[in-house]
Amino acid sequence: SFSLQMWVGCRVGSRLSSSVLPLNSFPTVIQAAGVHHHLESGNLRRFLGIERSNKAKANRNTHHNERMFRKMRGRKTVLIELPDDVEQRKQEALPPNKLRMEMLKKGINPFREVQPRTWQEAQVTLQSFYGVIDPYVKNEDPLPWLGNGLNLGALKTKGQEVQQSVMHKWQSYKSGTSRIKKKEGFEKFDTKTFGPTADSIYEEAHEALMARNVKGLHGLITEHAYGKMWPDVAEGSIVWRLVDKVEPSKVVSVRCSDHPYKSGNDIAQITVRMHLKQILAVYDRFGHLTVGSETEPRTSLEYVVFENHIAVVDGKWRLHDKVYPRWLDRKEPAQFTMELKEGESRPSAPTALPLRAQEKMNAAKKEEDD
Amino acid sequence: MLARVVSPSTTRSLLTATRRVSTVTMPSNEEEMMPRRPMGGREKEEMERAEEWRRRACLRKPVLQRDLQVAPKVYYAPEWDLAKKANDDEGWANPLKGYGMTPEKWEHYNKVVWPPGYIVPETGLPKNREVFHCRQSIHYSPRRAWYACQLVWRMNVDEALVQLDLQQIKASGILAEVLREAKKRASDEFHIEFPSRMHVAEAFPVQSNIIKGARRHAHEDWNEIRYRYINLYVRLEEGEGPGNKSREKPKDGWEKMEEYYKYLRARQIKNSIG
Repeated sequence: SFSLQMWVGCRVGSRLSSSVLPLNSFPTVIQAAGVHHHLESGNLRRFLGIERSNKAKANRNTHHNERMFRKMRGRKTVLIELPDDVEQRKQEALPPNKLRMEMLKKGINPFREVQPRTWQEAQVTLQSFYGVIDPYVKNEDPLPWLGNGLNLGALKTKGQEVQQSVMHKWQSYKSGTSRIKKKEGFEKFDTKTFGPTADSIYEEAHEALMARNVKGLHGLITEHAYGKMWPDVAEGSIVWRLVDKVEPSKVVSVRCSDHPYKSGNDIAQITVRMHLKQILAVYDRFGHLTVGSETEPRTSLEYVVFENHIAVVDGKWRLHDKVYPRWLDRKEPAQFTMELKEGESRPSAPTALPLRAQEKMNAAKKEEDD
Repeated sequence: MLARVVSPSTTRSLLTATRRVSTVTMPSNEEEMMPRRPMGGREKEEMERAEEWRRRACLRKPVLQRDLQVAPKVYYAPEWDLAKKANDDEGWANPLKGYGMTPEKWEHYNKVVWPPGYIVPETGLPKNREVFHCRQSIHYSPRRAWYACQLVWRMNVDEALVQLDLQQIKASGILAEVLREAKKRASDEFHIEFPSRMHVAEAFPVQSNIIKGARRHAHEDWNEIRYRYINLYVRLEEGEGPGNKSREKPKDGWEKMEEYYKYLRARQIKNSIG
């Protein structure tokens, strides 16, 4: 039987327990100092050097009792409050609410001593919506008037669809185009001639992204789009080229809203239908190809949103976001393969995911770890 | 006539660092000495790996500064802030402080982006994926931690973890944790498919700070105790390691034989007729 005091400074050995040591030796703790007893083959633990025959800490084979004055010698050292790095690392890994609990347990008031709440004042500028105002896009494959004969249900849905489309067009004109035209500098705004402008902005933005030209990029894409596009080029590289325009780009929706409400600080968003043939190859940090191809062009139908701060005279149209309607075909994703860890298994059937699925999964994982 | 044998060692010292060309000179009774077999897939892999590490070992040969050719900057990395101070309470950014490897510099290596389809010009092979990881402020002696780092250097990660688990020093446990963290980062942050197929390319401790304590001896004699804190740096690289821990690959019997034959054939009889 071993006293627990002896095992200070030892670690639990996992690998040796099952194979080498006899089963009835429990707990399996490997002593910090190993002394191999080559003549004691009968006692396996002593032979391996896991157990000591002389339990005294300092065994220098002097003919004095060194243990006798250990405590007195220990009192000679001035004890210092050393920073506990293990503790510090644990605290850094804690979420803020749990960290506050730990501090309270120690008797520290986090709100008064650690980080007292100070008055914070910051100016906020409202030049862009961090999102798309209205992501509606009319279906290119509309419902038929007469499906399987005269069906009232089908007619009803078709009627709803037509109503939606008409409302959308009215909105685009009334609160979109006409409102833009009232603004100084945009009197000659016309949706019919916006297609080529949109194409040039799109192309220049992608060229700037490929070259990592940050200044140029900010003039061509909004901050919202920058947050989405820049990581591809900060953690990898892109090779992009516009091969062909399958169809001329067409304006599909115009929306204009002011932020704050009824202040006149208008921001306009235009959705453009772009049917293009592009070459895109995305590489990872080390130059290995992750998705796409540098030689094979792909045809893509996209609904690209451009935004402009029209309340300002020198507002520029910039690439803002893309709209992905349900009925549009999915693009080829990057194929990432990962080793499955123990306990993880592939799902047997596909499941419908809720909105913000990734965030919820991460949160659940964090709670599980805690 | 006296003959002065020019030993091959002097001629070798005159040569600059060049690529070693393998001239396999076999003796005449070749078939008896080494029966040939068709090379299997595994042997071919080993040959390729050996060749890759041979090319990489050439890079570590010392070169005169004037012969050194600095490679042009083809990678992209975020700007390094030169005005940043080593410690927050300094007046100006003293470049003498924060010399050597610091956690910020180590982390900066992770942010480097290589161009598409990049081929390392010295080796002629694509760049292996690598992960730089560091753990800061560990209360341990740097000299003692060095032994644990040297054990796992150039070892496969899983193998390194197994070996560290069986060591008796505290630094092994800490290093094992750091390697596990690095492996996790490799799969989560860097999207490396098989983190188990990586090897520990570099592992070293660097002292970060010392906290001084005191100890009293006989006759009111006081002495200083140094409590040392270290930063443990670890670099994981994809692929297998070179298999040896030396600068150059140790020679096997065949290579030694080649050298011996070379020496024998390089002997000359000076001032001889014919």
